[in-house]
Amino acid sequence: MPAPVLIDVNLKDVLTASMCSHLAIEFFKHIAYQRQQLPFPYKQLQSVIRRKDTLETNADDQPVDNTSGRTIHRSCQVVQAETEFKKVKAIMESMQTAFQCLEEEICNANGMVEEVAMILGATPLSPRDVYRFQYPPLLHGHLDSKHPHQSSLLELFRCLISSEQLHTFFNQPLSPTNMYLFLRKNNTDLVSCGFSPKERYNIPMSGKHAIIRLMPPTSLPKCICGGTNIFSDKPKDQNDSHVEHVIESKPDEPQGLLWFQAHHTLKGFKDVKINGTSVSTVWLQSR
Amino acid sequence: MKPVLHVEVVQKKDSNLLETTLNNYVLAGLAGRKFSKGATFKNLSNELLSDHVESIHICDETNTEAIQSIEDYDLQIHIFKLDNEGVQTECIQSGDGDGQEVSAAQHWLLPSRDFHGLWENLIYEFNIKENLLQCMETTLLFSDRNVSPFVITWNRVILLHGPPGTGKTSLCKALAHKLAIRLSKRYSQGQLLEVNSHSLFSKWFSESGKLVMRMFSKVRELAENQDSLVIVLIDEVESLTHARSSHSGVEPSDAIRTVNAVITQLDNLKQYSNVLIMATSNVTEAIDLAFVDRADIKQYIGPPPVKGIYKILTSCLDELKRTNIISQSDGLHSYDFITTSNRTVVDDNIADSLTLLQISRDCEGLNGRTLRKLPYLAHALFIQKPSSSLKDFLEALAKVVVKHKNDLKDMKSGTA
Ligand SMILES: Nc1ncnc2c1ncn2[C@@H]1O[C@H](COP(=O)(O)OP(=O)(O)O)[C@@H](O)[C@H]1O
Ligand SMILES: [Mg+2]
Repeated sequence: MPAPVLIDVNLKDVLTASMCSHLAIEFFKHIAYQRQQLPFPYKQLQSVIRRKDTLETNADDQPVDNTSGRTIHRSCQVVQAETEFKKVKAIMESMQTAFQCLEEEICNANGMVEEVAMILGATPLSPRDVYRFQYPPLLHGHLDSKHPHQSSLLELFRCLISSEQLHTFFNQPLSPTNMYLFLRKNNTDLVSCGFSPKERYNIPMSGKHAIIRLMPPTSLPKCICGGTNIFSDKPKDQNDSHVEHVIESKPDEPQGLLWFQAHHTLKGFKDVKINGTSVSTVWLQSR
Repeated sequence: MKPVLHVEVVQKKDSNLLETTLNNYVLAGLAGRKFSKGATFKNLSNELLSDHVESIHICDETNTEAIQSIEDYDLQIHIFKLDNEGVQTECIQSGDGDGQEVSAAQHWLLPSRDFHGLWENLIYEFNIKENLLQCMETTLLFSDRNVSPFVITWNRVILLHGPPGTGKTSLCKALAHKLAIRLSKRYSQGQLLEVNSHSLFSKWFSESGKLVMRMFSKVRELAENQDSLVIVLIDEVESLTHARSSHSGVEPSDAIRTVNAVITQLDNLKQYSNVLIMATSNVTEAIDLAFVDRADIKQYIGPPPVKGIYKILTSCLDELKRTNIISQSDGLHSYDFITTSNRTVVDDNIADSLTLLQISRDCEGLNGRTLRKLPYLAHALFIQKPSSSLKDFLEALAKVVVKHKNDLKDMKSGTA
């Protein structure tokens, strides 16, 4: 099996928990589009859906035009477009919820989440592509408001786009399939809303793997938010009070780390063409 | 030696408890309670359990004796979550060089909600299904422990054959599901891969050999994970092997090559100790001999005997009672009771059971699939209202059986 593609992202600013989640989510959206699971970029799809919804509400306010012939003519295509819209909207909503859960999870865990991953494939046991996103230990007490995400986001995407190896992944065809979200954290904190622990689960070796590692800045930039240079605690060692939580772990596994799987599975989909036009165009055509 | 008692615990999807913790809760919850074998608890009064557990099932359907104390048993508690994702399609490159993908197999993670309860509703005589399960468990244990196959022979490939509609496909799926539950301590996850034998034949037939290779390399990839139990189901193998003889415009040599590729690949799979192969066939004679040779267990599955029919129909009627399509009444008696006991009083209950017994006798020779359809037809053709009494329903059922038999006769004379 080929070695995983490693991409190190050297950040210039301090990482906060919310930045961790933001970077991961933007990365996953990017992957979903690049791996042909979304026919258009995530943002664009969302805006189309929003515009279509607005059109809808406005149309409801207007009196219905009952000049019959036209109604029948458009119905067939419109029905198809509507059905498609409902489907796409549901998929996108579920994706949004999943990302929100991921964000909450990372922010609440406050530095406990060491890694997040997205697995593309029919099941989490038969991956075609695996994208792992690893965090360094976080520093204590830095405020989000004082550390805007923009520069780190740019740095991440600069690294992604300049990686030739990652591009070879994107060139391989992949039919719409499932995208499974995972996160890895210490098993002493099992509380979670959108994720459940998956005991004894290890990401399979099969498929293509890419690992993105966020690297903290080597020298800390001057920080005005009052954050420290102290790493937040990571209870790496199992203490006696958690005997019943001990799980069998492989020798190469860090003690106590556990994968959690998201309740929401993301579904890939393709653009549907109606008479040669993208269905998303049909949605926005005035009726 | 204490007898073994399997207890299956379905953990709720979003429960975050680790297995060892829940195991202790279950043990505590079961202690000191009386229940009978075959029982399923859904609404658990114990608060600790009800938050985390969907249902607890005490196995052993063959013997519904009451259990006085769980201390008398060697308890085997199996804790698992059901996979809700259902069937997924595994794709492989079609090999036409156009970057297209073809579906190669249906993939389930086990235990799956799709198959939950299937096992309990398949009814066979002489403990056929229990024996198959035990054989498979022993197989996996022996291969996991590297018992030398030269010293003790055991089985890796099973073939279920018999007439259509007797539950062969269902039994394979139920077996796979059950194995994943029973062996969940050894294998963290089970997987069922149903090979799509039709799609393995490419439109460019000469490519089929390559498709077969790709398909099986996928299976091997899954099997590389030693923590995972991989069950490969090849449904209706005869469709693969038919290709050898009935070549529909296809070069027979290509067909033969494809089938040979499948057989070679199956042989290769045998080196994986965590792989089981299940195959079904609706015909016994026409299966390729080379394939039959590879099957270690060949089990004939026929239509159920009267006792089985009685049980199947009872389960159908119970379901209709549960859904209030048949109005509430006392339960029907068991087959053994109704055929052996000396009855002095004949109450409604016994009368109904006797009617069902007669219907069951009239149904002899029908397969399980047809039997499970009869109550539906009875309602559609002779009841046609949202609710009826058991007595009326049985009457309708009897009519349908007569009608079905006449239809069969007509069809036979029609084709003659
Ligand atoms: N012995 C049986 N007991 C209970 N149900 C049966 C039995 N045989 C068949 N059935 C029912 O018939 C249905 C079809 O069975 P299937 O597995 O497709 O049969 P086959 O593969 O042998 O053609 C099943 O869903 C099952 O409910
Ligand atoms: Mg079948």
